[in-house]
Amino acid sequence: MRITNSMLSNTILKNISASYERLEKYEAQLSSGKLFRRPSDNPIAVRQAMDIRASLKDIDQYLGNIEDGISWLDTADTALRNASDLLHRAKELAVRGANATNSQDELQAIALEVDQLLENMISIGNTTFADRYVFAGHKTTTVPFTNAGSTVNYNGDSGSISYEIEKGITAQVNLPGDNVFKGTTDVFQVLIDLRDHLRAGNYSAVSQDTSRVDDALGAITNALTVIGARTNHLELTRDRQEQAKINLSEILSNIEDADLAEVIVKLKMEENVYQSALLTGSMAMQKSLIDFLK
Amino acid sequence: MDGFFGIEIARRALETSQYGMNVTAHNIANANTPGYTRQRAVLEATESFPAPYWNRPLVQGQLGTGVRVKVIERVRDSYFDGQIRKENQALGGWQVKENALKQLETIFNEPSEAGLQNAMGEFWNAWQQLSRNPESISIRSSVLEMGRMLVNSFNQLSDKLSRLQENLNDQVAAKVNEANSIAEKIASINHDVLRIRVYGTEPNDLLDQRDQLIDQLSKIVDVKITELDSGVMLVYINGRQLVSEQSANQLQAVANPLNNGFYDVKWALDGESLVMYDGELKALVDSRDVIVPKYQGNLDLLASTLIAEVNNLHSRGYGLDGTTGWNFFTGTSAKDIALSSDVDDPKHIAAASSWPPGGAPGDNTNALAIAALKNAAVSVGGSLTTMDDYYRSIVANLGIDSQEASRMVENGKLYYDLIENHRQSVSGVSLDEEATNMIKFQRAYQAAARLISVFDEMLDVLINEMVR
Repeated sequence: MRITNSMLSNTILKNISASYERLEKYEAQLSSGKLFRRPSDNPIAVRQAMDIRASLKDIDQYLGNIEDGISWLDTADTALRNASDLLHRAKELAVRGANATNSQDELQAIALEVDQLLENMISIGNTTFADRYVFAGHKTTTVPFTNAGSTVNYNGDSGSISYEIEKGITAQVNLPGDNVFKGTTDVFQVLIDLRDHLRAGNYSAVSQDTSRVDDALGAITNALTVIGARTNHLELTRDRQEQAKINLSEILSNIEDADLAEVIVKLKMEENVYQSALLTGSMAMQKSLIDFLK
Repeated sequence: MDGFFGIEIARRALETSQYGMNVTAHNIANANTPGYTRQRAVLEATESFPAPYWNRPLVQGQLGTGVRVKVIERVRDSYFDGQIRKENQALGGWQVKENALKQLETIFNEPSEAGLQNAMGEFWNAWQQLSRNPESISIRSSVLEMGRMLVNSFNQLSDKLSRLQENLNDQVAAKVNEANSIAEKIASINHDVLRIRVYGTEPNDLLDQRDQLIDQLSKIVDVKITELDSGVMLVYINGRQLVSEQSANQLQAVANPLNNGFYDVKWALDGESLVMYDGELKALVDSRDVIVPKYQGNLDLLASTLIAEVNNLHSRGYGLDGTTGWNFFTGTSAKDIALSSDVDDPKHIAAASSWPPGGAPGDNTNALAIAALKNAAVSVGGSLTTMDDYYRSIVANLGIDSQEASRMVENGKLYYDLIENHRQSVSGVSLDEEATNMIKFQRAYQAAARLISVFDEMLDVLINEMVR
């Protein structure tokens, strides 16, 4: 084949610019730390990376939801533990009040304390989390329990509040107050009746109230068990999501992060290629027969 | 046969060597001129003496009478021209498409934090956030804010796609002008070639120019070339003549009101549409009318699905003030999607799915349902997929299309370079070769000069020495 000067220079130019293009690619990978910049660099990997990014964003949101749910449940848990302590005290008082040796004054004093317990129980029922009543069902801005003298009214509803804690799965984070405090046993009514029986000096009724206080305790304990189970569920889900987050981040990194050592080695090799292309170019284009004619 | 016969041969040799030297000089001077074809002085021996006729002088044998330049010709293989032009059409087309697709990729700007996928993610998360605190006005406002960000992303994308289309349209008009101007030039060269050839000479440098112009034209539109014996080149586009022996037909970019006022390419003479199958012009029209609208359509479909799905759930839910029936979005496409004026009041955002007497501000069921749309399979243009997934498949398809175009350009360039190399191998100037020719002609010139002085010495003997 006849080789002409323009062929030589075209070929050299083509090789130099191809080498320069590869240099630019490795430089970009090195400075951005990413293997691709646009979808066409690797459509499949870009698609995967976008999928994983979306999943990671979901997981972050779910983790936030779970934390919020756990706080909500913790608030209810603390409140109900107080309620449980309170009922233990009510039982002590009931046992003491059932003793016929108590004087009328003593009974009145016990009744006064029970009344106090009732007020405390109402404020427990009105516990808030971030300015919202946790035992009010959906009516989170309405005071759920109000004292009407001979009874305590429930102003909330039985609406359940759930958060999405993983893809397509929701978990209930609230316990409507009608279920907890006014279910088969009306906790408030037990305290009201106890107080009124003490005031009336009705020993036998007070004695029966002792077992009703036990029923109330049972109701609160049941609610605590439910909260414990739900918290447990949330915590397990959180752990699993956090694990998934680590795994997904690792996969994402494998897909889109440049291996620095590899890129640097490639870059150095390409630099050599580039320099030798320049060198051979400068040598080959310099010489022709003209140089040797005198 | 006279005594000056040899001097005449030497004179011809001197003249021919000089001629050859000039051709060599022209080649060296144009060694780097694009489109230049190396030229060659074709030498031939002049007619021998005596010519064989019946009353020829009685001499032994025929004597040569020297040399002359028969013609100065271009060294060119038209086979490669045909190949280059065919490759040019495909390459030009793919380059235009690659360019358009790369711009589309820049517009979609994925993967990045500034892309639509992120805006959609933020939007869905805002609903999750609302489900955690539906009573809060400030969280409701942030749902609106994220919604606004999302519709802005849609609007901007749509806007940029329209601008890309307009840009491509402008290029159509520019390419038509370029083709017209090239056709004019070819016609005028045809005219000159005819005039010069009448005198029996080859207009080599004009031919080079014309070949280069045809190369350029073949990149724009799929032309067919017919070369006549007269040296004229006729140019056809799919059967219709663009350039004749003397003149060129004009193409015209005519705004078509049925196609957004975009240009159609027509023949200026009778307004008939130009039939194209390949080349830059065809690719520009295709990019404008097929490729960009395809992505615009995908985006519109996504936007309209989003509007319908969100509104469907939203209008059935209840706001914080117990009202219902409000839309969240308005519009039907990526271009006009906007927040509905129904939700100017953040209380109208429907987080609750029912509103009993006394209200249910803590009811987050509807907010949850809307947030769950993110992962819900919905019907997007008839196929069941999540909206996020649909968007990702748009991006992946764009990546694949763009990658294909880049690969075609790369392959086309490789093939083009290969043929161009062959062409240069035949037609390019080799300085070594020219230097060799230079020495050849120089030595021939020197020898011819020496011949003259030798003949001179011989005549000197005859004229001066023989006198007593």
